[in-house]
Amino acid sequence: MEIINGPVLPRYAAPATGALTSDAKISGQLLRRVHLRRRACGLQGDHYRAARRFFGFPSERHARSGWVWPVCCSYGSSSDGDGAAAADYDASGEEFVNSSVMEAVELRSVSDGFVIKMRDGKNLRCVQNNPRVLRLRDSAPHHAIVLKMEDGSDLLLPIIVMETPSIMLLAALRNIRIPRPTIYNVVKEMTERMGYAVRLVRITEMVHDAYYSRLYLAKIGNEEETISLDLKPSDAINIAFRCKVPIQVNRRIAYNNGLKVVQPTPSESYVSSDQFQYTRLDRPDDQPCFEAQEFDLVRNMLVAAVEERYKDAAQYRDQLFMFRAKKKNMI
Amino acid sequence: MAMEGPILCRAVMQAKLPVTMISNSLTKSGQLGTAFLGCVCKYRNITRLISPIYQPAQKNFATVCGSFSSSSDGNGYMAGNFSESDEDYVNSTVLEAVEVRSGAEGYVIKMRDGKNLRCVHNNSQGRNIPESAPQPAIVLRIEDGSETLLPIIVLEMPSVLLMAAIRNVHIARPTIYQVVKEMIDKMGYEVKLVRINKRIQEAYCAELFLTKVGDHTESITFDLRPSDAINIAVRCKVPIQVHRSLAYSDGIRSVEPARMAIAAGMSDGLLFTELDRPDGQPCVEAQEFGLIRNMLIAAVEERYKDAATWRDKLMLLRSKRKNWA
Repeated sequence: MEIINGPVLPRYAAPATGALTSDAKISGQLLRRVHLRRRACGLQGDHYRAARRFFGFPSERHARSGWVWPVCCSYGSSSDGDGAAAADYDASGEEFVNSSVMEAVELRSVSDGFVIKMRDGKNLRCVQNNPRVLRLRDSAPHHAIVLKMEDGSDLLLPIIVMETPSIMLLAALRNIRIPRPTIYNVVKEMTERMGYAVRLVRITEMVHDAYYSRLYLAKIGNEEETISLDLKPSDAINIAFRCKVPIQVNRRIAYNNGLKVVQPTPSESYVSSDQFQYTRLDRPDDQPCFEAQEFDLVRNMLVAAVEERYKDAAQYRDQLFMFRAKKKNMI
Repeated sequence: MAMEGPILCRAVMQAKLPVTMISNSLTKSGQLGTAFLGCVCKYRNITRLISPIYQPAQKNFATVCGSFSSSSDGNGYMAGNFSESDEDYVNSTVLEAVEVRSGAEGYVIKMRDGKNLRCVHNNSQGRNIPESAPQPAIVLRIEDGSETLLPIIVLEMPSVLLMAAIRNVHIARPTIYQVVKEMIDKMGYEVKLVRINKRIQEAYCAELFLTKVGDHTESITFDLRPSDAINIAVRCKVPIQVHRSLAYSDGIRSVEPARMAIAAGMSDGLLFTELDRPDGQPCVEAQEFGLIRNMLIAAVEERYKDAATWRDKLMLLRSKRKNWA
């Protein structure tokens, strides 16, 4: 998988600073970007035609990638040293890959990878796409949103979220009607009635095992006036799914943190064998059970001994010896 | 109870609260008055029919008509309009409550500092209180001097985020409420008001009122859950209002602890504090324990002369103590 060298380096250096974002810095950064974009709007009109064309067909985008490339480099934003590199709306489309949401319920870490439990009860066994990225995680199940990359690689990106966003996303996936408006429905309605439209959601980067994502809004009738907001992936994916807009993931994140589904390993036969034994024990098979007969003889002998009926105890002992000798011959 | 509009609600309210409406004399704030000027609309006639006392005041708004009434897409939750009478609502503030437990004796609200408020229903004819385990709740205090509290049971995450917002705790990642606030600011609107306006089958409904910056005649309203609405209101620092009928029918008030509780609590506390603190007096129990311990150790080590000596000292101490008692 090809990694674009141009805009990757400034963002790659960002996690090294290790500082988490603060709201003030995010606000200042957002205001600066709005000014920068407005200035750019007056200078280069062709640029925003390219940006608008970004939502065309993939083949069209691919055909024009050579032309779009030199223009987009000059507008990549840096992180200003606050540790959170905010992806710009004008970043090249090749840096991101489209994804869709899977109906995953929870994620669990096992010794050789991960197990994703789907909604229908199936378990997907996965290994990390990049074995060199070592992520130590606890083995308790976590609520997760799993994104599937739509570029043919079939990578899965699990994002551990809290319980409420996960449940609300699963309800939205099945079009389950929640009788009261959730906060995501309110955000969608609020956006529409204020004259804006949600355009895109991007998972931009990962800092200290926490993913960052951005929500891109555009004014209806004036597509050049855009707003981007920084928010959690759980909220971003919920809003994107309700507004039916694409969810894009940074290629580097998908490569480093993605999972691959593996075929069942031979260790699964042990599970099958175990199940077979259990099902066999649970169901009567209409055969004479030697263990039950032996148990009865031992029981009767001990009861007779306790009740001081020693003649009967001796008889049961003789029957038990005869039964065991017969069984030994059978074996 | 399905409501086609505020008509039925007002009728019910009028039947129950004629005195409250007549004695209502709250003064409107200037800002809210300004915000309401451009929003009187299709409920003007209904207001006039129900409230003849305020009929002269309504004439001033006859020439203004708003067209921004929001509906809730036919799912039975009719959103009230911005121009609803201000006298129907009362301001409230948020208490730092963690959870609410209800039982046969009423409600017990656990505050953030660990104290427990014991409350009873404001209206003795209120609906049956079901027994429930402790649940996260947001408790509003009605600010009309009656010291009425209104508990609203919510999910856990809105309750935790509300506690963080009240104490200005910085959360590393932006919550959905901060995103909503930021979105409203960047789209050129501002939050004006949050109202808890009705209850439908144990679930409260809330409204969020927004106006355009610079053009207060353009306003929009949204239906929300009270947990989301109150979280947004606290972050945007706007007033939270509760409908009077809700405060009357569902409100609770704090009661003094019972005497039995006082006696038991005090006695228990006294015992514990007495045991926890050394009082500088010679402790007779400690002396007795020391003698018994030495006697038993001597017996185990077969030092029977010493054991007999300790036994004699123990008996002497006990006889002396019996004389004291």
